[in-house]
Amino acid sequence: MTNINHLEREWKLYKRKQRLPYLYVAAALVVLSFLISLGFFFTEERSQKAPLAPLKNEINTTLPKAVQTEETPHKEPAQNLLKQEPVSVINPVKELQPSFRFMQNIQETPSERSSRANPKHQLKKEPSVTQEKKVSQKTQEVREEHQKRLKQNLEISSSSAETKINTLIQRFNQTKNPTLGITIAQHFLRERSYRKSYFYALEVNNIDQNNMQSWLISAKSLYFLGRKEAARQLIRTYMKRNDSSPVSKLYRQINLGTLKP
Amino acid sequence: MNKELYKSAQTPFIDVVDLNEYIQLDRVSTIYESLLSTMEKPLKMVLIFGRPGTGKSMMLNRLYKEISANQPAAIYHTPLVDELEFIKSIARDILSFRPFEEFSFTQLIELLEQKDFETTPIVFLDEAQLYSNDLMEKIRLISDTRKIKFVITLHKTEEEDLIAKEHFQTRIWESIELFNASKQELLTYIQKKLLKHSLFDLANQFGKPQVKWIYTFTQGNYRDTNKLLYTLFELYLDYLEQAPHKVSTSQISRKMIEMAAIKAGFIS
Repeated sequence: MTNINHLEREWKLYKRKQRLPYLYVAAALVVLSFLISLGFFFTEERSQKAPLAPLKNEINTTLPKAVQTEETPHKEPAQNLLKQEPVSVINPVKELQPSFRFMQNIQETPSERSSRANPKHQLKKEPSVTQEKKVSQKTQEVREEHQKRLKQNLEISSSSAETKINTLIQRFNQTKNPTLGITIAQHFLRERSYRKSYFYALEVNNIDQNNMQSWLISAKSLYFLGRKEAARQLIRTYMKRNDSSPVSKLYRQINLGTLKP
Repeated sequence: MNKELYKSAQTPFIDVVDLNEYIQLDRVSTIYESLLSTMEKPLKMVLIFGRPGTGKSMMLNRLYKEISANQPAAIYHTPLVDELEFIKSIARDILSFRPFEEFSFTQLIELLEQKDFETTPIVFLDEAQLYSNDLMEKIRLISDTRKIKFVITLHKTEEEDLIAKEHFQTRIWESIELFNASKQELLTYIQKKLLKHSLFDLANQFGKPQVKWIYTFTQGNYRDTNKLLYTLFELYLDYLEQAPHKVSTSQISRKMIEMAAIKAGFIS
């Protein structure tokens, strides 16, 4: 006759042993998840405490004073290039694009703008010989008037574009909005005013060190100012902490010397 | 469910080579039919090998039962380790010759060569791994006379066995390996065993989950399965005797199978 109590005790022991591996696995998972969450927590803390240092204004001394006095009532930044500081990758700020009208105004020539604005002021064909004198006089008058208007338009358009960028600059100085800053920097980059583009890129970088555009525009500006090594170093610094295909592409172009304005 | 049912359920799982308890499984049936047809060929030796508990002895017995009805045959369940005893047994069972005390192997060979059989007699040797090498050599020489066919069963071992020995390889007409049952085959085996004894309710209590638990301990080995189930029903009887409130007779529980495995020594 079997001692069923003893057998039941043995069976319970067997079940406990059977469940042991699962307990070990569960405990290991709990410990692992705890360690991972701890790791994330510390990484987050570090990134908040020690963000990317802003870009160094390498050509601070060479920036013409006129640029500074005209456009920037406030002081120039004078920061050092980032050494080796850990930084968390922050999603880039969604860029607000300037209005199409503004961009068009910047890009169009005065004549294009005037013809678009005033299609009526197109030169007419010359009249027949019989009325040459009258017509020629009239034509001359019309021409003179047209030239006057063209000149005026040119003055208006260039002043309006200038006004607009100045307005943007003023707004940027008041609001410190990185998007505005980037728009301004991009404008100067297109205008091939590399010192100005570099300056505003630096300004944006002071506000938001993780703004990728600020790094890109700074590097491009340096490159076109003939400071290729500085541009390369800048990109390398950014790439150490961030993986971005536009930055990688720029780096390649800088290395190959294929970057075009 | 009363105790008598569990007592009856133990009987089919007693570990004995009983042809009445033989259960036909499809795969094994195919092997059996193939062996039967092989016996008709002019062969010297057939080898049935496999792990212990895979049904070699049962297969041998079935073959002997079928063949001995039509032609002279002899089966030796227990190996005749004594050489003289072996020779005398062959002479008695095959040649119907009762030798004197002094009877040599040479005399046996001479007698065999003088004898003409209508159909070649077959000698079935179980557990041939227990025969000595000398005796196995003599068996080889007897088979060479073509007067007797041999069907031998052998355990498959890790060491180099008789199959690898050169002088047997040329003589083995066919060799068949037997394996453990699959889960499905095991279920059929258990259910058919119980149904053969009219234990319908009990047979219904065995399904895929029960076989899965049994398979964990026996791996489909027939001998181990017999042992486990015998112990299982014994345990049910013990519970019905000592603590009937602790056991359910409406289904075979995992707990009971595991406790039977502990009791039978499958779990240390």
